[in-house]
Amino acid sequence: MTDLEYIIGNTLRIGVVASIIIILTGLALLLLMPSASRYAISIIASPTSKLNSSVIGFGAMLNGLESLDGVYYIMLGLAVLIATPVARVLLSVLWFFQRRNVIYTVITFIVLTNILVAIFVIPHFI
Amino acid sequence: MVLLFFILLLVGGVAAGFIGSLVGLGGAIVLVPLLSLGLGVPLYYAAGAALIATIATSSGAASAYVRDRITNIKIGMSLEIATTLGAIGGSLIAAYIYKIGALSVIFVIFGVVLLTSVYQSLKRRRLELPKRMPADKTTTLFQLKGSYYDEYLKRKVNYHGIRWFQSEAVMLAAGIISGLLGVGSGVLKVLGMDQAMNLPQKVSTTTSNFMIGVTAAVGTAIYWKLGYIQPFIAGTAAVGVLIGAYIGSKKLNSMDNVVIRTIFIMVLVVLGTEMILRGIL
Repeated sequence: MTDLEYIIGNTLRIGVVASIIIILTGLALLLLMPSASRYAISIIASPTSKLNSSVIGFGAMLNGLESLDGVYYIMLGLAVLIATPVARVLLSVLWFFQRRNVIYTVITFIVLTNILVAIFVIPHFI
Repeated sequence: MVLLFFILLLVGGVAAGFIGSLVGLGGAIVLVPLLSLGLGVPLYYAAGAALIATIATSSGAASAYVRDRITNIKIGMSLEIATTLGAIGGSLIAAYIYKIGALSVIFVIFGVVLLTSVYQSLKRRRLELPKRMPADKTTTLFQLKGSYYDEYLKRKVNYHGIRWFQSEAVMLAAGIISGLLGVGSGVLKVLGMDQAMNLPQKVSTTTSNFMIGVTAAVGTAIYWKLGYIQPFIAGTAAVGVLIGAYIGSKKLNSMDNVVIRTIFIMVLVVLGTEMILRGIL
């Protein structure tokens, strides 16, 4: 059974399960070994925290993961969550292309282009 | 203190994910007021958490809805052209709209649109399934026929979508609104599929649920760069939302269409009022 419903359903499930595991790992790390984080828990878990995605950045991600800093695990989990719908659009393009469904190959390709432009180009104009 | 904050974020996320997955919305309607008014989270972090919650609701519930074949993938994908374009446009003009002070006007207009659509929805409230309307040219061209097995009615429901271009226009508006305000994309999507395309309520709900993740993904890079995403707040809420959306997705198909529509109408009233208040205050 390799119909599109099966492929998309599984892609979404894998993405969701992976992200929830990574985020929970991050939260558990903050709880169990708060000293591994570069930031104090009182800063991380404050409603008006100064710590956010503009400060964290992807450059320090690998380092943060290696030192078991929970904050970076949460951010990685969120990135996986965001990538999940993008992945299902990409797989749909390939599926419709393989089936020679011209109109839906074009449609899904336009959607994919829009998303990629929004993620990689638009932020430079903000 | 940290533990209490954590638990409230988690519970709020579960509620948002549950309601969102039943009516096809992202859950910003639950999360934004709860976080900003209830927990003292600044509006930008609340908006960032709501954007993440939208993606979580979408992927969390859609994995079940797609497998159960209630979602119409083709209708969803074809309408995503307009929602993604609209969301890009909305996010690009947001700064300008804010500068000329028109944002509050847009909040009010959006609120009024929602409240006026309550009347149309009320007229259809008692309908278990929409009245069949003849297929049009776009039904064939964009392959909008579909069917699903309704566990409440205990039978297979055949349907087809009509007025694709009209629906696409509503989706463009939905995209612009979500790019501008950070909320409301799901509500307009459900309205567009319900009233323009004449789809059954469960198909509108699940197809909107399917689409909102992609619309929200369009905004994430900007939110990420602007620093709207706070790891603890967004991460904890996301875990809650995924749990809530999972529970909701197990319940939807055995529910009465009339009940789902009634919840949706209540959401329209609450969100409409919320938007007008945000515009005025």
